[in-house]
Amino acid sequence: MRSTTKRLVIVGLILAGWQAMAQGKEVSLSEKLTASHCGACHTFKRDEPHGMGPNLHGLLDRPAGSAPGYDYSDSFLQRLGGQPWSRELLDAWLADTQALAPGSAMTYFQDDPGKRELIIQYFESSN
Amino acid sequence: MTDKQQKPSSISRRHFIKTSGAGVAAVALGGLSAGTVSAAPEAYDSEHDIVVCGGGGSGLPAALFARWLGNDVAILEKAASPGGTAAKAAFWYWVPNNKALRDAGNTDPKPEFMRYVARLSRPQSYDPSLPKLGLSDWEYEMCEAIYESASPAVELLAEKGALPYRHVPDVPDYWADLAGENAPMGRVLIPKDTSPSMADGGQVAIRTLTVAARRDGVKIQTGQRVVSVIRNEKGRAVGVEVETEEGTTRRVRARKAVIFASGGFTHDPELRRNFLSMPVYGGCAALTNEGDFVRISSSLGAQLGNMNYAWSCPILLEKALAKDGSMSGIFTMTGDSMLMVNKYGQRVVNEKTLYNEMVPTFFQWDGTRAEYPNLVMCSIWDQRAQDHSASKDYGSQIVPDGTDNRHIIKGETLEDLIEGIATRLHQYRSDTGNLKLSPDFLNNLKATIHRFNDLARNGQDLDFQRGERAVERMFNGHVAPGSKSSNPTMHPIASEGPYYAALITGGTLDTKGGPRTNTHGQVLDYANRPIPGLYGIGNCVASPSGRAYWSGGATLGPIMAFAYRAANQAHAEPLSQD
Repeated sequence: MRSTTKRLVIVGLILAGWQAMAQGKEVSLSEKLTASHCGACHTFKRDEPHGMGPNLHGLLDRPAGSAPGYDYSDSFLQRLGGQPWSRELLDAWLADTQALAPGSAMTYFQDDPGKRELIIQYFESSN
Repeated sequence: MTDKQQKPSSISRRHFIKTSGAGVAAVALGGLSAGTVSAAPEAYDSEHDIVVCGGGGSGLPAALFARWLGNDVAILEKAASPGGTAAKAAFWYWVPNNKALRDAGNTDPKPEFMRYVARLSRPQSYDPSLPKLGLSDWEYEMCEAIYESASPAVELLAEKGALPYRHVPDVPDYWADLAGENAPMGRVLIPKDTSPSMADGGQVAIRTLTVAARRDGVKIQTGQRVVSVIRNEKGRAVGVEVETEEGTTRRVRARKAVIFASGGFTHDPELRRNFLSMPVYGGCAALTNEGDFVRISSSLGAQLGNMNYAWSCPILLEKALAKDGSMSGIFTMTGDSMLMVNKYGQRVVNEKTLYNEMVPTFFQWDGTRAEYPNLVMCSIWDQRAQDHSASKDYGSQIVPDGTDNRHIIKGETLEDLIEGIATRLHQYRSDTGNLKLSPDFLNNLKATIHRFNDLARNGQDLDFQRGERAVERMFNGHVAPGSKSSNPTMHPIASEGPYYAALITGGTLDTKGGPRTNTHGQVLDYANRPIPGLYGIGNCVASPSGRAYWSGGATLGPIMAFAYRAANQAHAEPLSQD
């Protein structure tokens, strides 16, 4: 279990690295990172259609596998279906989707906890 | 080996993220690649035997083949996750003389294979009496390499559990009819766990390949854009310079070889404008396919080839303009009570023409009017087709309710529909040369529908031969049950609305030109000499296929062959001392 302090230190280091991306001050680092990591397959705004993956509006706290009209893989539903998207669950999912739900459609892993934290922060801020 | 701490001074040097104009993929990793060669002696941040640039349908297999030979292998992937274009593909892979085909008691002799690919790749010089059949020496040797190595490559991937497959014995090649009665069936394989529609193979393949790569110790690093090749004083490629998504710079050493597998230039408008034979509107390649290797290799003296051709596909105009990262090519132009017309309201093409072959129609030039009359065509269908032909698969332009249907224009009457089409075209006028429907569009469309309906009732398209080839029926998609028509691709369009339309133009799955390699994946200079230590595979290098799309899976099957050959050759390279 990571301590909050350690997590903040890591986030701080990552934030330093992401200064180059903060050219548009109005767009947060976490939003930019989330867009680049998730935006090719997912949409974020309310009522936007699904892409390769489901629309992620209001992701935190909603049950996994519940986006209307999206065809989730059986593997995803069996492992995660119905569990609320907590920040801990989202962190584990982003760390390695195939470790958490082998056989699910999304192949993504992020070894860097600081980057995962920034993505989670985006969903917290936009929820 | 662990990476060193980044130098703080490098952090603020670069503006790494560029924001795209619109659409869901608001941010693509990128910027213009410098493409320069770096002089050696600075320290490296990490070291590997073989560095693979790109983790998609060519990079993942190449990395695995190299790893299984005992090498320390790293994949440097520009995007935030592996997969590239292949993740979006159906991932059929076309493997001549494959084991499943042989095990079923069938044969696929090499001479017939070579005649088939030669006939389609270079129809203007094809001559079966010539030793090389009209192909250049390079094209002939590359095609031979596909025949010889695709099957062992895919067998090894399957044996190692990286890409178990399912044989599709009854899929014909796209021009099986050219080969006559001896045409082989069953060259197509798909990932084993692909759904019955066979449309989601890319997700399955990228998952199994990635899991195997991580299981077997391939170091996949994401958010790593390779910007240049580091060469030693003898000109050998000994590493790469990388920009990370944080904006830092890294130098990665490759003791044996650098293998580029970084995709084509679908998403670089300048390269498209200057090299492609058609002014396509981008395409459905991964958004990271920006021609990096064309730029990087230009300063290395690499010889370019096949830059004018692409794996082509009709695409939805609006998704292409929005750079929608989820966009698929339209592999199946669905609907029986559906037709396509140009700006004059006229049919100009067999709507069931294979995707790659339909694309030139969009860019036919009218030298009298000095215009592209078919630049954007309207697919128009009725309620019957909407009810029975809608599909989420293969990029169907007719989609079910509740899915992304923003591209669909609906009208209760033809007049309403045309008004909607005109309004929509007006929105995109700056991207289409102010393309408008002609004043006689409605009258022409009514006449076109009348003619089409007559042909459909007789089950024979005397104008464009729609549905006459078996492969067109295979790609027809769903139609209303119980139809007794002798031609299931055609049905009269209803005399009553509602009617639907979509704006369609030509695009690429990805381009297929770039640095030319030899049959071992070694990048060649203009004297046909390998540039030491530098390899390329997949859509970032020149394909020997010319204009041809030999069959479903003709992208990925040959890619497996060259990934296998490049990995073996790279493995045999001596360790560099730099």
